[in-house]
Amino acid sequence: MMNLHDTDKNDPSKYRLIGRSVLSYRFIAPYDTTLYIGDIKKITDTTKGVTFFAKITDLSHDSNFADTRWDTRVYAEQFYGLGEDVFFTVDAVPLGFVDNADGKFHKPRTIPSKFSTVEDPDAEDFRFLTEQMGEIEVGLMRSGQDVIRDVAVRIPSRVLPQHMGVFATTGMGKSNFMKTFCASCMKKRKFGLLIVDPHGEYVSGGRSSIGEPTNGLVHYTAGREGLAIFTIRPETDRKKYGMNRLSIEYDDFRIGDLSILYDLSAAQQEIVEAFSGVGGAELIGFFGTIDPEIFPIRDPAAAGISERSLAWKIRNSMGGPVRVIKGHIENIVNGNRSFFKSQGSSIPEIIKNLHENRVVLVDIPDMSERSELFVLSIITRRIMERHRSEARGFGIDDHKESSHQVLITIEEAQRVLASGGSSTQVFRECAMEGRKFGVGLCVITQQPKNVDPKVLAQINTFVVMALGDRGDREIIMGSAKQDLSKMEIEIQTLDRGEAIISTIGIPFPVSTRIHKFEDYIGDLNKQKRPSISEGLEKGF
Amino acid sequence: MAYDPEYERSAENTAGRIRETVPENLAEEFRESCGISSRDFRTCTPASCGEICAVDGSNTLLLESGSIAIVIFRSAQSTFQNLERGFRLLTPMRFAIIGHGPENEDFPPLYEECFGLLPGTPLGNEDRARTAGILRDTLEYWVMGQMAGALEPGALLLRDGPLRVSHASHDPVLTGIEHTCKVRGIDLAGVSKQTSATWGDGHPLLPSVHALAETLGIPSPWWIRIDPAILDHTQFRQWQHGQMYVTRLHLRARSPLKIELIHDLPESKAEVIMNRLAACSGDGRIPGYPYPLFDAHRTVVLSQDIVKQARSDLMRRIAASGISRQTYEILFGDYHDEFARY
Repeated sequence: MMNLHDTDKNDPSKYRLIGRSVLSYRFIAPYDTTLYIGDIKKITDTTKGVTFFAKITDLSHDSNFADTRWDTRVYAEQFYGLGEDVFFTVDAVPLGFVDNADGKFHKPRTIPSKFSTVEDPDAEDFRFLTEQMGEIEVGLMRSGQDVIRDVAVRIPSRVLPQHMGVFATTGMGKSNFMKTFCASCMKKRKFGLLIVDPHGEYVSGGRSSIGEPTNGLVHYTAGREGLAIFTIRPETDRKKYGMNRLSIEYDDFRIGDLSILYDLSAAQQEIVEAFSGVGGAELIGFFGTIDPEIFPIRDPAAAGISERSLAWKIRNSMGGPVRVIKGHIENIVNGNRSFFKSQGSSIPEIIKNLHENRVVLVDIPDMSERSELFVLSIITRRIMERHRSEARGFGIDDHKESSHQVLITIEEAQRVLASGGSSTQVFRECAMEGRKFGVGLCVITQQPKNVDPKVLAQINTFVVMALGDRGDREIIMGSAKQDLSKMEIEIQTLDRGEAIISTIGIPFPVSTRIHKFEDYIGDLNKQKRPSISEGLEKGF
Repeated sequence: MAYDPEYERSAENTAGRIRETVPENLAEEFRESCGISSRDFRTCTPASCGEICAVDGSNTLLLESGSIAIVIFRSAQSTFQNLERGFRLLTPMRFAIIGHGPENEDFPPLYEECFGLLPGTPLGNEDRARTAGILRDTLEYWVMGQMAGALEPGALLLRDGPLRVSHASHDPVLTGIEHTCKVRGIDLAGVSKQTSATWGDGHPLLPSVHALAETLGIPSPWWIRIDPAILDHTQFRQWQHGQMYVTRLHLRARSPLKIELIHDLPESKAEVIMNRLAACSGDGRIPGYPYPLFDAHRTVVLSQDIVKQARSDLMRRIAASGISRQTYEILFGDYHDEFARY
């Protein structure tokens, strides 16, 4: 008996893998489906017993029609029944696969069987990822427009001394990210984090770049133990928020710090080099009294200049460069009078707090950009000296140098880490060899293309937020330790508060919806505080 | 190519003969000869399509030798409700051998399987293309019969082709389908993209009607009933089940279509059917052609992939039956395949 088959039970041509290579997946989806760049899909390969994961990198319209111009003809006014033959072609980049037998995640070194099923993953599918995440929570994993609720993105603290970069244009949520990052650091206390804040926004909040009122780190009351603030604010404010007075003494200063703050001529640079080992107090005293007009000193003996004096060291300098250096030092002393004093330094206390794995906030509201760099360069230099000294004490090979881990934040890092600048030596040293001494940099910039590529190459953790400039995106994609090249469209279309986090601690670049700081600390403050007895050994 | 006067003359002659059938004043001649005026054209008013079921078939010669040919064929239907496809059904694909011997051996069992009795007239093998077409029509009529019994009253059943059989054994089958449709309140129409119908000793009908409509300024979509008396002749008139109409179903239609509706249909009923056809002929891919028929065609068509697969399946079984590669090549090998390599 003749019979008829129903051909429309389902449409097996959609959501099955048709890609051709290990690094490029492809499938088709109905033309009216809502899909987003960055959506993560699960590809179930039942023949091999493995589950692949892939991220959508591109969407395009396609059809089964031989006439490629079917949709552009002048009479193409209406179409019926586009259901099966008009569709999206979806390109995806593989993230890796989980072997169902042992639950382990592997790099995508193989390819799913042809026509493997493409589905949406759920939180349970990402159990392997949850286990590999670190400690410093910054947000939730994102798949396209949605977040996967139960998969928190946590950066491993152990990789942070290998430097972190935060890249975003203005208004894309850098400050929110940093405050959220700080709150997690305060909670976990895995390393010391230094931030110099010239705008006063980190302490008690203020207004975001888009004008919204924001909270500060002091509002994370449950994590207050993990925060130390050094400020120039008046005593009433210091008492209110339990802040320390910031004080930097003259001897913390070295003349080399001028190179960071000013563009020096060769002649001025010679003076700086001549005084490289001289203490700050002595230098400030010298330039406070010296008359530049006596230089060059033709006859030191006649001028009463002894061989050991500072004036002797620069006796051949012309009066002009000496006058300029004198002026710079006077400006530094006068411009930072609120915290730069002849005696009394907070730096030992700052380093102590860092070594106790606190977030140390150096709060200098209403100070100039030059003051910010001045403070930052002095503290950075002192931290590097301290860690170098400790490393020498331990011996570089016995790995005790990692006992103190410090991450130093540099905002607008292109100012001090641009290509070719030898003047910013201290930050460069930090970037190139800081990891050996447990000192990492948190490089924040909206112009990564203006940061020295050699510095970018040292960074192991990339937090990439929306970057509109193609040059910026290309330099980031070229520097990251994981392949971000196929995620360019996603980077370009990231929304405010969204980031791609690529770090050697997590197996693939993770799209992240950064926690809103205010909501995050609200949740943290609601959590039970650990009892003071927790962690103590039981039974003396 | 070098100039060849014989070749040039032959091409010139052919073009001239074609021109004779469609002269410059074709519309004028057609009007004068057939007495058609603008009043004979009716305008379509596209309305709701309702339920429309389109049936189509497909066949192709898979392998050919001197003595036999292997054909595959199948049929399908696609049913729409106001332009939303409800369901599609497809018959299995069938193999048949055409030859050797004067009568086709696969036709009687196929006919019996479809209609429960043996065909009254055997099917000859002498014209392979015609035989393959009639095998395909057998399945197509069976699907039409099934749908005539299954569709809701008020539905429109379309056939891709005329309401005219090409083999005597199909005559009672189409009569039965017609009867079922009449009893169940289902409209029946045959839609043809081309027709052999001519008038005035060889002028083709469709270009003539189209030219006249243009001359008279008839706005598309339109339709017109064709008086059989104006036609030169009709093949197999004894198996003709339909009254001929010509229609242009869309402003941007590539060409008019020949539509056949059952005999003695009131004009009001024909108008309703034409309006429904026009309503489902606006798809931008093939404006002026009823979309359900396009969908049925795409469902049933034997694409290159399907043909390749069927050929492989058959070759595997031929090999398994013990026929050597050389024997196969002698049977079905084509020197043109070898020629094409050079």
